[in-house]
Amino acid sequence: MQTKKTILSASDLYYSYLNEDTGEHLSVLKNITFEILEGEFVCFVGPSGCGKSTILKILSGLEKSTKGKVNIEAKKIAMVFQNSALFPWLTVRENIAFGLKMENINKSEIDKIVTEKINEVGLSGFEDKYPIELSGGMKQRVGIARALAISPDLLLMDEPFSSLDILTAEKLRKELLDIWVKYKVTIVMVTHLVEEAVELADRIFIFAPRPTFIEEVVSINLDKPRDKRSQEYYDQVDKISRQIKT
Amino acid sequence: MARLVHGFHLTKKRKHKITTFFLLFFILAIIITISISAGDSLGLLIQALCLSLFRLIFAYLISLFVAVLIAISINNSKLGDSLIPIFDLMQNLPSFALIPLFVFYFGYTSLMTIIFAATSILWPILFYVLHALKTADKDQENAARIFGAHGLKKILFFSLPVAFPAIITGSIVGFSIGWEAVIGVEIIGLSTGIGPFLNNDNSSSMHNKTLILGISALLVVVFLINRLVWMPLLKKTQLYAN
Ligand SMILES: Nc1ncnc2c1ncn2[C@@H]1O[C@H](COP(=O)(O)OP(=O)(O)O)[C@@H](O)[C@H]1O
Ligand SMILES: [Mg+2]
Repeated sequence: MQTKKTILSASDLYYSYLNEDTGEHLSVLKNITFEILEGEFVCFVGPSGCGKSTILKILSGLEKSTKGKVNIEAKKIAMVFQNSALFPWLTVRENIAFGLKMENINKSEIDKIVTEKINEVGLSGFEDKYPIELSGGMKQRVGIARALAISPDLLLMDEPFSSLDILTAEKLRKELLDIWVKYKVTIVMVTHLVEEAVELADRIFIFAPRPTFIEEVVSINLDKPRDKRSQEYYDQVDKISRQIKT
Repeated sequence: MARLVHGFHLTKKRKHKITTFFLLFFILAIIITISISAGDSLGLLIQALCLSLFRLIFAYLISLFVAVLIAISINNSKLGDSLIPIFDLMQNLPSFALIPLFVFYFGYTSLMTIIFAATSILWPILFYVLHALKTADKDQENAARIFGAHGLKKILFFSLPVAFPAIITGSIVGFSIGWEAVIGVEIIGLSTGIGPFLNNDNSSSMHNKTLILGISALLVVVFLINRLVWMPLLKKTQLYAN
């Protein structure tokens, strides 16, 4: 196997914020160090409120770490949000086109790419609907299409399937795996579902309670798509679930 | 605003719609009848109304531009936050108290009317828009930034759409405040516009006719602006709900 390039690394990240009511500095991240390889699928799991979303925000440049360094080799980063974060004033088509429009790409090119993504994530027939008219699963498809439209080499996903019903989430996870294989995009996904992480990830980073650090990194060496009824799958889920401290 | 929204629901009913338009027709009939019996007053009336409306629209456009500009600047800078209490204090000042000040600088002129009206229309738009920007969905804002909306692009493709419903509600409130400001100043010190038309002090039956004529016409214009401009825009803002 050829050695893969590092697409993303963080060394010794610290993050704290000032609680305006109490005047205290609250520490969220301490000493976070990791490397992620090109094409890898990494899941972050850990107790709720420990700082997983904060790390994604730092990686995407939305937030600055208090201390430490982030090194990003990725040329283009896209993000998918838990509540989809679509723009309610834009149609499905316009939402997906948003990133391309910001890049000043010409209209016919945008139309071509958007139509392609609409077909790919199964949104045909919904092009001209507004987010308010869509179900949770459909909104998340739009969120994924909006991210894919800019051809990212790094896709950050913050609990993308957490607010969906089980069947829809199951379906979207399968589709995401297909997308990952097809585009060879690096994915970093935050999730609180261990089952989801074991189904999708090459490596799982287990985070400690806040102020968080990486407690353990587990490699899952099972072929994808994974059989969720196999003994190995079940053992991994069981083992990791025990490791997450709340 | 509350009144308008309330009316909006009421007038959705067909029966009310028909009644409203019948009333409107009735008022128009009065206007025409009176103006025929009062000689050339229809021409004068339309002229006066157009002039007042022109002053108001001008004032409104200035306020809209300034209010949105201030709101976006305040929202985008940490320093701006400290200005909010100052604006909050200023908006509490009864606006008519400022008339002498404006008269001192501009005299009783169209320009003075426009600037004075603009200062009173400004506040509701400013505060509605500022509130909308401050309470904008954080993840939507993050999405806009991640997908490349920075600087002017962020203002055009994120801040303005986010503020759109607030711009409309602020404008509805501001526009009715603006009518009061314009007509008020006109009655106090101007010789042109709908204010003086109503205030014409010939104490004759002729004046009573002019008064009824003026008020009826004003009613029709305000009603039509609400119906044809604000209602459709207000309806459009429903789309912006998350
Ligand atoms: N700028 C901030 N202001 C207030 N609270 C913050 C800020 N940044 C992070 N936090 C807090 O830090 C903690 C970690 O948040 P988050 O990263 O969203 O956790 P997770 O995604 O793991 O559930 C939470 O308790 C959150 O309230
Ligand atoms: Mg989170």
